[in-house]
Amino acid sequence: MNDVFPIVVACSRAMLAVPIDEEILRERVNDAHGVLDETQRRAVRRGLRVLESRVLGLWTTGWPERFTRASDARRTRRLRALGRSRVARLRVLYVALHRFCAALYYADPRRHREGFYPGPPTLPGTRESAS
Amino acid sequence: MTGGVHTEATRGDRREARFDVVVVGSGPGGSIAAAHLAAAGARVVVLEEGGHFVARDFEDMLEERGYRDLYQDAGARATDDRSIVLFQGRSVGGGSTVNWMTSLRTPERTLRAWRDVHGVEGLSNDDLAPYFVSIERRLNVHLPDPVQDVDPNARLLLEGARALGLETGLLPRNAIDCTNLGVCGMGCPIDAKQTALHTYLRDAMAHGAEVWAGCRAVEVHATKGRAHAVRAAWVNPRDRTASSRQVLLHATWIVLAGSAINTPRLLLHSRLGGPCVGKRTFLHPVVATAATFEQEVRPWEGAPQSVGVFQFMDRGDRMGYVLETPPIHPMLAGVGMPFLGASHRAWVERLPHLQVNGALLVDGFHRDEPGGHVRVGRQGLAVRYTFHERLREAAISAMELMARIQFAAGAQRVATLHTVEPVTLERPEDVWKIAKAPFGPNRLAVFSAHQLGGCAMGPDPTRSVVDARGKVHGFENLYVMDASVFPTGLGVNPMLTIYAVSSLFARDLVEREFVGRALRSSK
Repeated sequence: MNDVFPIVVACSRAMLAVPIDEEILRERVNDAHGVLDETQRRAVRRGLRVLESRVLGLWTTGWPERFTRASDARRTRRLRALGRSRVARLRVLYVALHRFCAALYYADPRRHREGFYPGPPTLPGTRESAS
Repeated sequence: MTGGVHTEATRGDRREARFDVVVVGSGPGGSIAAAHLAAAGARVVVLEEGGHFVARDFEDMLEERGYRDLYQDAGARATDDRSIVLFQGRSVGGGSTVNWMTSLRTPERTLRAWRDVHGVEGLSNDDLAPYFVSIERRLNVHLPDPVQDVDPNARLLLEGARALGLETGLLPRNAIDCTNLGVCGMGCPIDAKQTALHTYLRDAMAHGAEVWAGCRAVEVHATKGRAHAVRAAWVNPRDRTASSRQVLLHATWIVLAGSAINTPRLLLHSRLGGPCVGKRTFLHPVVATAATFEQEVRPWEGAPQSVGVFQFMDRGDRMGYVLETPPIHPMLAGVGMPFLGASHRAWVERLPHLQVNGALLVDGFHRDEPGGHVRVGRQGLAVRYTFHERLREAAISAMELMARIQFAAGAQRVATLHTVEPVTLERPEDVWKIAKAPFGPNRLAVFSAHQLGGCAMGPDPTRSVVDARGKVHGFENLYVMDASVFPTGLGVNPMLTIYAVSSLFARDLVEREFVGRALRSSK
């Protein structure tokens, strides 16, 4: 997903309002690429390209610019317009991108060190396994 | 016969094999069917497309690993417009590996509707009672301890509901020596949860059944009212793609137990089952409200979902709902709250102080509810589900009630899970705002952990797929034994109903076909 990686970075920053470490995110995207099946990979790539398009920028914010080139405020405006759109397909795009970015970020155990979750509980002694 | 779990490494060299029974799916339905059939002397193979995991595989207790390995589509399964996330198990043991253990019998109202509206005879409370008793014993179903076992999330539901004078109930669960780690959804790392693998699959294997893990049923072969084989493919465990290694499994009886969505998909792909396959799929759609409290709640801790409110399950002509509390870990919080930017971050970072109530909307009980529709097209599987007025009314009513309960328990603020920006309530009088917010696909986060129907039971082949004993209309030897046979939603978490109905079907099959007759396959 190298071709769409800058869009993932920009989208994650705008969607989640969190600092993004690009090296870690690249690792996470590569892992996700291995887990997703071909249909899912195609859908993610297609969604990110639509988000990036100048046409969508013009339609949603009045600025015909790429998402990655837009200011933070106009990225947020574009995403808000998608999420609140009367066009069902644009809301689908918002929801799909939100789930993708949030899963990449919050499923990472390194996030557990940031204070809002102490990590998994301590494991007591295990009983004999089922198999 | 030596039963056990096999994989491509030990069975991948076979191109053809013969069994008395092929069971497709290893969750509650498939496992209990396999146990009955193997105990009756049948040579049984159970096909499971997911992997085989044991307690040590779950010791990291991480959501990422859990969703990747134990859920359909790595946790990304959803309706075709992405508006409802479908959490559905996918490993040996199926949904029982990842569910939150709530073990409730089928409500009488549901069984009455099946009989009176859908013509399903022989599935009354009295018919099912002996099965429930036996299953509850095998799974060690018991009520949680009201002091030790009520998780902090549920404790606030309990307190708030009681303050409003609502009836609450502790939810029975299937565990032995549970230490309340709260990670049931990622697989139990201490073997406390009594999953299908720990119980009925183990029984089946003790009677010689083989479980083939990582093996997906692709097509059922049938001619002239008789199914005779299942074509299956070994699956790449990482990205779930089918490999080129396939096997043709000949059988005298074929039992489909891949669950709602997957069983209709297999029948559709095989062009079997008639015009109703995939129709009347119900999802028990879940809407939620999140509340922040001054004190720490730690909604990831303790035995999940230990309390419920059931008095609104039957609302007459309106859609009913049931309130329960999901455990909230970081990934579920991040994905489940579809807010944008700073708003999203603020709510997720309040996670330790968050309490979440969920309302399971009881769909399928009214004539004007068509339910969802499973289809198979060029793009693969598609599940369509329509948001209708009845659903909207129930969702709003449930969210208003959940918010009131949260304020009664001491919440500072309550939020709905609307897309982009939540409806934020500062006091109980604000609940009117919920009805003013937009409602529809992808305007509000909606989840489903219970997929039901799609191969409905009934006497009429033009309106149903199987008869009241699970046999596919027009076939002598093709059965469905899973949640797809339910003609409506249930109103409770479905695990125990799936076990009981499938057990009754399997016992009936054994009594009609096996008792006093030599099995036809070579052993």
